[in-house]
Amino acid sequence: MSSSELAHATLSITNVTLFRANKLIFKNLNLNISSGDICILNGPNGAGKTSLLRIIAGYLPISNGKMSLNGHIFEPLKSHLPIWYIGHPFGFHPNLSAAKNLSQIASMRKLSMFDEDRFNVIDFFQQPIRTLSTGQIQRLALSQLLLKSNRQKEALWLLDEPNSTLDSLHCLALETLIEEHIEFGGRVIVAAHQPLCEHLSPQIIQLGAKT
Amino acid sequence: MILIFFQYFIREFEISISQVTDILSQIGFFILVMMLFPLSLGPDPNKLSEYGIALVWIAAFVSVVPAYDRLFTDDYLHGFIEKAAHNDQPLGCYAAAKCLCFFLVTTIPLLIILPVICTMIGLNLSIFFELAISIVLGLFGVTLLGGIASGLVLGARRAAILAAVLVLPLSLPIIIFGCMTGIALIETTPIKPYIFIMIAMDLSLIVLAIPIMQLSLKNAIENN
Repeated sequence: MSSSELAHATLSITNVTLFRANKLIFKNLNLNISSGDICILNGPNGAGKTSLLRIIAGYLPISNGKMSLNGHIFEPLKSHLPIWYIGHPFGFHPNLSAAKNLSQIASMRKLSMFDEDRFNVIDFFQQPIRTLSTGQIQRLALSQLLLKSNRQKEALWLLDEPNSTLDSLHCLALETLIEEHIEFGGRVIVAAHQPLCEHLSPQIIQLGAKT
Repeated sequence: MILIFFQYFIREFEISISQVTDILSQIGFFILVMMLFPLSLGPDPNKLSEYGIALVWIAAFVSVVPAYDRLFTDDYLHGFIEKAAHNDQPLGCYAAAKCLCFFLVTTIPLLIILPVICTMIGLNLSIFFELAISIVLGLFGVTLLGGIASGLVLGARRAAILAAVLVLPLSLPIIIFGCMTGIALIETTPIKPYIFIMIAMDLSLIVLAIPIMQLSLKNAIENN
């Protein structure tokens, strides 16, 4: 698929059913997300929000249903669509500094360091991760979305509780970032308990509803 | 691929440096095990040098094997393997870099301390070089086996003991040929055949271990 096709491709998740430890988590779930869309996953703890994000990221296999990108079968780990899963665990090694962890991820993805430090991570850039607070680690994780590349416009962001540990200032920075990403034609799926980006009128998927 | 291999390798090396106490405690363990032998077998140098080679091998093994469960566990728990899976390069590249770094940081300190140990148990230092080669070859193979075991036990309970139980029987051929090299050294018979067999085992393990590790890491991500 060429990059121009990719930029407008729609990611469809059809009839996905998830069992974990022989327990039905959700059944026949459908989700379509195209360029410029934002989708919010709602639901109580254990409703399968994180699992759904991990399925789309390619970490969990699907037992039923299918995922496709413009009609082609979508294999997240092999796809040309850049995918960013930002959720716990973040992939940082506690003994390495924030800067080293971030530059490792940047070089793995062949990206360069960001210019705008929107989440103010420079303050603790040289500290090892184990000395940082939960909110600071969350900010560092979100900074991965700022890493630069010319092919990140259409990227799919999978954010798992991105704002649960952020202070109000950085919540605002996150909302602005998501808004810009959508304007540029990106795709965002967020699992959140706190309200986020409500002014963008997102698709809302309710998980774990008793039927 | 070579570039990303080096990046993984450098990352591993930095992590190892930051956890230098792990390496030191492993070397301390090796020295202590070796010190037990003169105490238990008696200080007779003839007797000690007769068993010496086998004792060095066993002590080196016993000090290295418990570390294998840690090989991938940290990165698994911290989510790094998932990040690496999103890379264009296969996970085998990551696993190979990890094993190589682990092999170097466990073997080099052991080699540094080895002359002292040889003197302690009455081994002639003239055979040190050949002994070191056989230990390097042996530990290289065992590290690859350890990588397989570590990948397979990811996420399991009591992973440390399980990994050790997996590694030890598989590494028997390496121990046997390693000790035979040592015996040949003492008896001054040719050691080349044994060394070549160990090289052959190491090479075939490289071919086998990397795909197995790649598969087991992938499987571990799906079960997280």
